Amino acid sequence: MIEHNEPFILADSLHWQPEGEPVLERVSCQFSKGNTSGIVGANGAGKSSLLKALQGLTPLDDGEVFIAGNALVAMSRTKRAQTIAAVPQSTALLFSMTVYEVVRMALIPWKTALSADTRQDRAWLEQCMQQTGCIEFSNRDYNSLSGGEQQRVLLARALAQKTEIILLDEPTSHLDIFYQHEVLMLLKKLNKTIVLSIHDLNLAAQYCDAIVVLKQGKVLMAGKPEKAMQQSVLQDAFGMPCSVALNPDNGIPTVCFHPDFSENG
Amino acid sequence: MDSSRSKAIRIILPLLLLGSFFFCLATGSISLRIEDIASCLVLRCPDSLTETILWDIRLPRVLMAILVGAGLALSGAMLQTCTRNPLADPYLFGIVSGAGLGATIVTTIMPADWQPLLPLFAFIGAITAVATVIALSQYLQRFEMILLCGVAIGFMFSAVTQLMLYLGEPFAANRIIFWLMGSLSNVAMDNVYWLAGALLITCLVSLRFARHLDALMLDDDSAEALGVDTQKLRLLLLVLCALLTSVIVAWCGGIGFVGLMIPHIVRALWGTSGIKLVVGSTLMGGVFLLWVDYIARQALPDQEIPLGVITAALGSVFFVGIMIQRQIKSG
Repeated sequence: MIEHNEPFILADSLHWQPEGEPVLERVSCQFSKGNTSGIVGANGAGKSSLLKALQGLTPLDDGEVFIAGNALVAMSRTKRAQTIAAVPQSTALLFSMTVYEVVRMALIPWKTALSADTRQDRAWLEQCMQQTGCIEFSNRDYNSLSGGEQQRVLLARALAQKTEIILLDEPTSHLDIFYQHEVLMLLKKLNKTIVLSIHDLNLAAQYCDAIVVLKQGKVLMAGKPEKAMQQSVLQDAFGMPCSVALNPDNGIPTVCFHPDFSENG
Repeated sequence: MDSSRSKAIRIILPLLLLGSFFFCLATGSISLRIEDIASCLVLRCPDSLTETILWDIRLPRVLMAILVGAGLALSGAMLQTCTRNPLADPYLFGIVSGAGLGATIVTTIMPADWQPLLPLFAFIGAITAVATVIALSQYLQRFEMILLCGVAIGFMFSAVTQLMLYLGEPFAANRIIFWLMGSLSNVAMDNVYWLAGALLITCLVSLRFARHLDALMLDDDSAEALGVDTQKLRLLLLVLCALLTSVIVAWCGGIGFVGLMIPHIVRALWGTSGIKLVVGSTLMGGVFLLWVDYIARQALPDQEIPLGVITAALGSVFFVGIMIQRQIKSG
């Protein structure tokens, strides 16, 4: 369990078993308000499914998600979209739209029928695009952008949605090292409740206040990075020997895996 | 899209519709003067001949052309967005085959005095076909399957139609084929009111969800995360478009390609986002069919060309053009 601050998002015994093995098996975890939390685990561990469940998009067999004490299932769609924004790994558009038009979709939960965009709306959208560094290509076709550029556009849309919570599915996967750090730094500065799935454990340790380690749909460990990212836990989660060293300056764990693929190994 | 072009389109498109409307009212086998038309519409007609031509013949036809074009283009735009398929056309949902079967039943089986009921039977046939398609796609729980369901149901209805025509009297087949080619020659003002109502409702609902339409262009999870109930919105728009298209087919027969072509032109010229697509497709569809009907009336002396023939010819050229342009673009 993540022990600091009061829980803002509470996942209570989430269970989802579409067929065969459960994708999420009695997953319980909580995320504190204002924290950046990371979900780590091997491919197929249930990271994306957990994120979708936190948005209310996974048809759970059992368990419930609570946001600030309110059951997610009881919230209206609009209220949900005003509370939680999501950044998918990537999204393809059916027809070409400009970057501005994609970011503008963030207004959907806030606007009533036929209400036109105000000057303030446009200024707000531009501010969000500025923050994520996509203002300079705001008139370009979204489908023509590189994966990294598209991800910044989706992040701008999530910011523009004015939610307290942002969920991100591998937000750094298409980015170069500079932008990986820039995006994570930006997310931390937002002072929102952020939950992200991430493959790079060292980035996770550096930027996340809390980590949830998943394996085959179950929570192996959850807590502050130095607690969750223990050698035994990570070796179990990823099925590979590793060493974890604590940075003497800041106490942040640094992970190094030692794969042994030799036949005799 | 740059805003100057957008502004220009916002002004040009309504003016083009208005100009085309008066031009098509004025021209025909007997020309009418614009000032006579204006006084007829606003005050009184100068003579009874002008009154008959304008109110009984030209006005219903011209208005119907606008409404049919607008309705087909709007339905096409909505269906392309709803099914996430750029090739969706309102006629791909078994609607024409269903209408054809209804028309065939009334032509081959029913007594002669039932013939005026052809539009009603065609409407029932179209609704039956599209309801079957929607029910099937709901049962399969996969919305993207709807076009395939439409094709399958379409073939099924066509098979029954063809069997009935094969066994029926030879002239029935002729009448059905001509009817299916599409025409505005038999419309009356009553039809105009009905279609105007159906178009207005579809248009208002589409505008109500204009922002949501943008989100439908994303994957479902992203759209849901923005607060859009994708399944309900799709079903609502599909049912409205099916009703609108069924009304059109029942009175005017098959006029293909309008619903496919016009939304693509609107997207290319004006933009993809909701309001532009809804308003642009409606206006441009109206202008387009007005001119198609003008060609249909004027191209051959003493004879009308079926509308479906012209739209199919233009549509196929348009298609080939798009493919060649893409090929050139991709090098």
